[in-house]
This record gives sequence, C-alpha cells and structure tokens, in this order.
Amino acid sequence: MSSFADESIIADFVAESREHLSTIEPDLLRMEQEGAKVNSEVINRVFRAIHSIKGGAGFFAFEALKKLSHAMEGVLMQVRDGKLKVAAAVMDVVFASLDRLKAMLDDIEASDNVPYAKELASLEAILSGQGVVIGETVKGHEKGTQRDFDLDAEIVRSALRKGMHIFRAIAYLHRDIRDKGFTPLAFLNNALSVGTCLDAFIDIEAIADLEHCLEQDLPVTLLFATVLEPDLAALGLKLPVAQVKALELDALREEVKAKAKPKVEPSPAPEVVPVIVQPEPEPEEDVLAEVLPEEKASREVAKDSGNETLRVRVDLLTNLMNLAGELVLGRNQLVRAITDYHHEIPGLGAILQNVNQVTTEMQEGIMQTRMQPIGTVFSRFPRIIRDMSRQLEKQIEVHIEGAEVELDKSIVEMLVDPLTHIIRNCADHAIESPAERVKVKKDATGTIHLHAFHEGGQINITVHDDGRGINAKKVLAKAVAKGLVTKAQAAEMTEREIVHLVFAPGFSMAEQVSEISGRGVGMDVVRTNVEQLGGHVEVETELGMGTTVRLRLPLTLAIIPSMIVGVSDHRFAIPQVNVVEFVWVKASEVSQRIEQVQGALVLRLRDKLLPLVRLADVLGIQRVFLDPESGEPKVDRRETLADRRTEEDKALQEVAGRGQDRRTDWRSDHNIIVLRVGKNHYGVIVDELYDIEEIVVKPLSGFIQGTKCFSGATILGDGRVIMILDGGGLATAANLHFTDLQVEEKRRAEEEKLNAALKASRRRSVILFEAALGERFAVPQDHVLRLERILKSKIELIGDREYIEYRGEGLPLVRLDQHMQVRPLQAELGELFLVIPKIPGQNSTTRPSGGILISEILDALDVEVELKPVAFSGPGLLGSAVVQEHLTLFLDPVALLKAAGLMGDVA
Amino acid sequence: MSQFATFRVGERLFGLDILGVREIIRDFNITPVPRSEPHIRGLINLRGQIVTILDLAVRLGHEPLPVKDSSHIVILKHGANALQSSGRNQGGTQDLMGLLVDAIGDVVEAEATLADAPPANLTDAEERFLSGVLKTEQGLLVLLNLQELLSSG
Repeated sequence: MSSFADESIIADFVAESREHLSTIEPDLLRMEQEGAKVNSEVINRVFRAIHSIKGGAGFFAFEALKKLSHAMEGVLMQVRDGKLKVAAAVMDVVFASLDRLKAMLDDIEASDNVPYAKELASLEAILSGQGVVIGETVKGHEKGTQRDFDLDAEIVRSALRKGMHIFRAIAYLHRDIRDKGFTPLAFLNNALSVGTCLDAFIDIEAIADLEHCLEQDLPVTLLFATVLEPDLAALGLKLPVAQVKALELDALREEVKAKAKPKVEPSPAPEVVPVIVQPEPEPEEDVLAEVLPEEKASREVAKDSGNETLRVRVDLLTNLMNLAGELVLGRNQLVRAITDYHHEIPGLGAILQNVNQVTTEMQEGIMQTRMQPIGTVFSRFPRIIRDMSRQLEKQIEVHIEGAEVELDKSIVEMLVDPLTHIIRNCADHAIESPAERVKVKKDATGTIHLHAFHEGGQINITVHDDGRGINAKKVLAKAVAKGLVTKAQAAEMTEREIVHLVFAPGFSMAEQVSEISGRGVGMDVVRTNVEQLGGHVEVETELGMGTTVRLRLPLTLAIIPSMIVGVSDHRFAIPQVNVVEFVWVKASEVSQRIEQVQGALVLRLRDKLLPLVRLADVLGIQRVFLDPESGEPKVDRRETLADRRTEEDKALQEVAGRGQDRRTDWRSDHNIIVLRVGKNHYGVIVDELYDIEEIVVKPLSGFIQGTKCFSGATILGDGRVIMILDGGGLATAANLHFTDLQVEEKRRAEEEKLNAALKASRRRSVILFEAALGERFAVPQDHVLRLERILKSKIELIGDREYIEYRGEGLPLVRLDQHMQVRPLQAELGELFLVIPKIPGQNSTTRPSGGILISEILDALDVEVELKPVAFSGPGLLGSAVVQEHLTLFLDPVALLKAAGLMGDVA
Repeated sequence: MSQFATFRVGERLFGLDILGVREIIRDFNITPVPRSEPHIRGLINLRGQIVTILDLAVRLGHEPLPVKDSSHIVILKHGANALQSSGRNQGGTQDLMGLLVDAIGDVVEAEATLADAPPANLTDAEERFLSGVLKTEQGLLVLLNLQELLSSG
C-alpha cells in the first residue's frame, strides 16, 4: 500500500498529523482542567484531529498508528457523548497513547515497531469498562472485507435533521461514468444537483499499480444524502438501482451513533484489507474534492479553522530573503541615481517614496517568515508540568504570557532544551509539596509563570515560580563541598554570585538523583545553550518567595550587534557579545599603564595584567599615524609602546625639529577594546572606534577560512564589505599566553604582599622620651604597659637597687645610665617618669617586673625608620634613627629589664 | 562548438567556458583580507552577496595585478567547492568567486576538443591551473582549469 503512496504524500501526512497532535495536547489539557464544563468545540476538535490521523494511517496502511488512534478516538467519542468522565486516570492513558502516536510519527516507516500494546489495552479497558466496544468489526462482511465510512456524526445528524435519506451508492468509473459519456466531473455535478455528497472514496485497494489504474473499472463509493427515495435517487444519480442502497439509520436517528458504518459490497479485487478512507491524503480523491467545493468547504469548517498556515521550504525562504536584500540595494542605487531628476520629472518623488516603502515592507515581511512564535516551545510545558505534578504529587499551574512573541526559527528550536530544563527544575525543586505550601501559608497550588516580551531589541523570557527560592547558604555549602569554589573564594562572594553558582558545571542541589533531575547538568546546559545563541541568562531569587530565571536573546542569529573598529584604512566588526569593555589610555598615561612583560605588551587594568595585541600587527597591516603637523598619514615605525623611542628616532626627531612629541599628542591616545575569550580577557589596540551596527553575518568563503582571525564577513550600510573579527582566533594568532601572565600576576601580587609586609615592619608606633637633657629615646608602644609620673622623693634605696611603691608593692627601678653609655638623669628634677615595660606573656593584672626612670615624655607617634646600629651598643639598645630631626635611640625595654636582672621569674 | 569568454592577464589571453561565467563587472571596492593567501585579492559586495576575488596573476605565480582602466572582474557562476563555513550562516548562500583580470576580450567560438596540451615551459602553478591551449584568430587562447582554480589551497 505504502509503495503506492508517494513518499512526499506520506511526509505531508506525517507533518499534518504532527500539527494535529500539537493541537490535541493543549485541548486535552483544557478538557482535563475544565472537566464537564469544557466547551464541546474543544472535544470535537480533539476528536477530529485524532480522526484525521486515523484516516491517514488507514489509508497508508500504518497498522499500529491506525489501531491506536482508533482506540483513542473511541475513548474520546465516549467523552464527547458524555458516557465517560474526564478523570485523570483516563487522561493518563490518553496522554500516554498520544506520546506513542508521536513516537510512531517520528519514524513513520518503523511505526509498527513502536510498542503500543499497553496503551491499546488500557484504552480498550476503558472502553469495555463502559460496556461498549467501538472498534468492533461490522459483522456479515463477505470475504472478510470491510469499508468504513468515517464521518463526523454532526454531518450525518444535520442531514437527517433535514429529512434526508442517506445512501451508499457505487459508481464504476467505466461502466457508469465513461461508458455513459460522462466525465467524472459531470457525474459528480449531476449527483450534486440531486443531493449532497457526504463522503466518497475510490477503491484504491483494487488498483494493482499506477499504470493500469485507469484501465480498470474502479468503483467509486459515495455516501450520499438526498431527500429522494431510493429508486428516484438511483435515477437521479444515473446508476442502476442495485448500486444504490439506503442505509439503515435508526441508530443514527437516535443521535447516539457517531459513525455510519454502512456495509459495502465487496470490491472486485480479492486481496483487499480493511481500509478507512479519509479524503485529504488521497490523490484520486483530490479530483473529487476539487469538484466538490461546497463539500470540501463544509469539511474544512469542521476542521481546525484557526490555523491558516502553509508549509514552505526553508531554502525557498532563504532565497527570497537574499533576493529581498538585493532589492533593497537596488532600490538604494536607483534612488541615488535619479535624485538629480527629482525636479525634472513630475511625480517622481512620490513614485520613489512608494517604491521605497513597499520594498522596506516587503523585506520586513520576508524576514518575518523565518520568525516563529515562542509559543511553539511554550505550548509543550503545560503537558510536561501536568505529568510531573502527577508524578511528584504536587499541584502546579502554568501561566503563559507572550506566546505570540516571535523569534528566529533556529533560536526557537535551540531554546527547547534550556527552557525544558528550567521548567523541570521549577517543578521538581522549587515548587513545594501542597502540604509544605499550606504550612507556610501559600496557596497549595504552585504557579510557574512563563513570560516572553520584547525589550531593547532583544527578546526576554522569564520563568518565574512562587516556590521556595534558592537558599544561597546551601548553594555555597554544596559548591564548596563539590570543590567548585574554594573556601577563600566563598568568603568573598556576594549573594548574587552565589546564586549564580547554580550555572556552574557539575552543580546540583538535589540530594538524590531522581528521574526528573539532580544529575548536575541542567543549569550548566541552560547557560551554555543560551550563550551559544548570543544570549544571556540570569537568576533572581527570594528565599521562600520564589525564583525568576531570565533569558535575554537576540531576535535573530543572522543579525548581531557589533562594534566597528578601524586600523589604518581597514575596518573590522567585533561582535558585541565578545566585548567586555573599552579602555582609553591617554598618551600621557601610556608609560604608567602599559608595560612589557617577557616581550609582550600588557595593560595594567584594575590591578590585573591585561595582555594587549595591536590589531594592525596581528593582521599584518602597516600601521600609520597622522603627522601632528601636516596631518598626513605616515608609516608608524614604533615597535613597542612601553619603550618606544629608539635613539635613532630621537635623533630624527631633533633633526626634523618637531615641536610636539608624538608620545604625548592626543592622537597617540590608545583605544583598547577588552575582549572575552572563554575565561580570559585581552585588549586589542585599534586606531578608531566607529559605531555599533547591527550586522548581517555572511559566511566566509572557503578560500579564506584558513585565516582563523575572522568568523565571517558582513556588508555595512554604505555597501562596504568588512571582516568580522574572531576573538579566539585573534588571540591564537597573536600568540597570547594567558598562563604566563597569570604567573606574572601572581608573582607581582606576592611581591606586593612582601613589600607591604616589609613596610609594615619598618613602621612602628613609638613613645618618644628624654632621659638626660637632650638625649632622646624611643620605645615601641606595644612594649609599654604603662607610663607613670613619680616623685623623686618617693624613691627608696634598698641595697644598691632603687624601688618605688607602686600599687602597694615595691617596683624595682632601672636607670639607663647604669646599662649604656648615656648621661645620668638631671639630679635637680623633683618629678620623674616611669616606663613600665610590657612583658610578653603577662597581662595587665600581673605585677610589673620593673620600671625605667626617665625625665620627660615627649610624644607618642608613628614613625617609619630604618634603625642603624649604634657604636656603643649595649643590652636593650635596638639601634638609632633620626626622629623629628633628633638622633633617637630605640630601646627594647624588656631586654633592658633582663639586663638589670629583673626578669628572673619570667625569663 | 563552445563559446569562450576571453580576457587578458599580463600578455596572455585566457579563456573560460562562457557557461561558467556569471557576469563581468567593474567594481574595485575590494576589501583586502589580512593574513589570507597572497592570491586572495579581497572581497567585494555584489548586490548584497559577498564575492571573493582572486588575483589570477598571483595564482599563476606572477606579480599582483595593478588595477587599471581596462581592468575587470569576471564573476564565476559556480562557487568554490570548498566547505561552507559552518555555524551561524543562513545557509544556502553561494560561495561566489571572481577573477581580477587586466582586460576583457571578445567571446570566441572554438572546439574545445581541439585544444592542445599546455606548453611544457610552464611554472608549477601554471601547470596546475591551465588545462590547454587553443589556436584562434585572436591568437593563442589559454584555457583555465576552473575546477582546480576554485579548489582552495
């Protein structure tokens, strides 16, 4: 059978059936949601769609497809007739069967290999549970043959309402039509003059092969409704009475039977098998359909009328799009060429304007043919959520907004996976179980809100759920546990950064790997896919309130916003997605900001070393500069930026007597574009920055693909062809070694640290004091416990050691002149000061070991000094330095106490 | 009989089967392609399509051609048989090629089967890209091996 059917007809059938399936699913979901209240039109639509599939399957002899769709149709019929309630259990079976149908249609030739016994059995169980077997074969057929007329009961009912009889009439192509001098068209016109043709088929089973089909006397079977009585009907149809039979329609009159199942006489061909005939896919019948415009129209009305689309080959559209592009350019040239004649030819302006507008609109229209509504992706989610919510025992609703927003076909296709991942995550992780939700005073039913909208020339898609939100702490703990971030990194991360860890490869929050998720590939894939499309993904979350995932995508892949840059008289486009930032280094700052590391140029940018490449050098373009005086372009011979003037240059400059140094001229400012290549960034030095333009990417010719620096070419608005730079290729061509720089960066960071430490060691807080007049000393503040003022009269001498009563105890005193070569304190002073050193390991409550007698405290300050050794070094003397223009001796008070033998008990 | 579009490159008269020629233009807004092979002269915009221009002289191992008043570009009907660049193109766009030549000659009718083998004193490049020599009224017509010419590399 299918050998007879042309492959393209089968392809059409498959495409059509897929379309049907896509309408069935949302309708089924609606039926389930609205239950008994559902619009009967919805049920009818589902019914008709399944019915068409069944018809086609029968025609092409796809047994499995036919049987399954037939059983589904049976169940749906019962639903339609109110015999069966739309219970979730029933819908589970219907949905499962629907999936099987999809699988069969995916590979139609192998459709019989798709296992469907389980679904079929379930469907039949439902049917038999109601005690009605719809798929039963009508008994009493000769030779086991059977012809089913598949009709919408509504058509039959309406015919009956008009008091018509329904006949089954058989006309043989030769005997009844050709031999009587009719053409098939005339025959049918005649038939239509006496009644209405409800359905018709040619017994194609009887056709042995195409070549001989016309020679055979094929029977055309008509299902015919007319008010005439049988004998008159035969007369009217110009057929022998024996070939026209009235159908027993009592069952139909009772308005319950949905289908007329007339018995049909056996056809001449002996090897026939049951066939259910549908009008659309049958070539022979197309002829009939054409001459039966009314009938066809009535059937079309019965079909889904909301979907007026045409299938067009994509390459045809691409071709049209190219032609439209040429038309636009042609128009531009035309307008330019005849502007001068505007005033000479009356009305030319208006004509041009008209042509202009039509061309623009046409181009836009053609561009739109590639656009598809995002709804084609969104529409699958209600079903996914339905299945998941049943599986997870959650209650989830899906709201869709902006399904009509259109995107390039290829983007729509590539969005399926990422969006599915996000939606599944929402249902699995985010939305809580009903009990949990009620506990936190939320509606037991969770909602997932899908929203698509235009913004700033981009498409935004948000997926919002009102679930539990992302717990940043848990995410961080997981990430650290998995080694995705180090503890040190974790400490510095903002909450936003933490939440974005969910996009890291290998990250999964799921405690267990479930059937639905938890394999740790999901969000990573989302980000990768979206970024491949030149898009961007973000996530916002509020703990306990929900999460929003936001995708931003370009309208089309073919058009990308790019920065146009110039080097000498060349121009290049850099896709904006690769551009991180733009850095402008003034000529006067070059020496501070640009330097050389191992022969490579680097820019110091916010404490990072950014490798630099000069676009001109990478591409082998001769650099030019504008002579500051003459303004003429001259060849730039400079080799490096950091150390640019060679001796020769200097000499030349003097000879030339140039007033201005090019190094500081504003024309020597550097425009640096920072590009992103994977994780690495690098800067590209260009001469000029032009606009940001939306460019149409054209593929590179095979001749220049070896040049890895370019990803394509494009035509600018002025008609000029320019190359599109490839960030990765450029880095490779420039021989950039990011790792070397990382090492250097690390080295510098360490050096910096070391320097800081060194500096810190030199920096000290000291207390400055005088002992003998004019002799200055300093002790580090952190070695001093207290400073006390005492009266000289209170000093007591015991043996050769002096003491003073300090907090009820005797504190031994030390005089500096007893331990180092300094002068003694002035004898005439009545008031002295004590420096009480802080002994390491002691706290302020323990008894001090001793005090150093001094004459005056001068200051407490921070000094940065380098100590020099003193000639008369002694115990407790650290060295000397100049502080406040006086030579100052730095003391170690603890060592001094030790030397005085006062530290015996501490040591 | 075949018809040949003829053109001059340097002193030589070259011929291409006219069925392989799409059009002949004079548009020398050629965008050079840095780092490409020397015989790639650059790209032009032919009514919205990008055409890669070959410098025939360089391809045959001579010095690059200067653009003169008589210069033309012969756009070939068939694209390069190299792989289309993958990725984000719209698909279906042809990889168009053009040859920069010094001057355009007449269309010459000749029997291609009568072509002699190319002379022996050729450079390697010439040997690769020339398929034969025809004696015509205008003089010796050197036939180009289009297929070889269009194969990149």
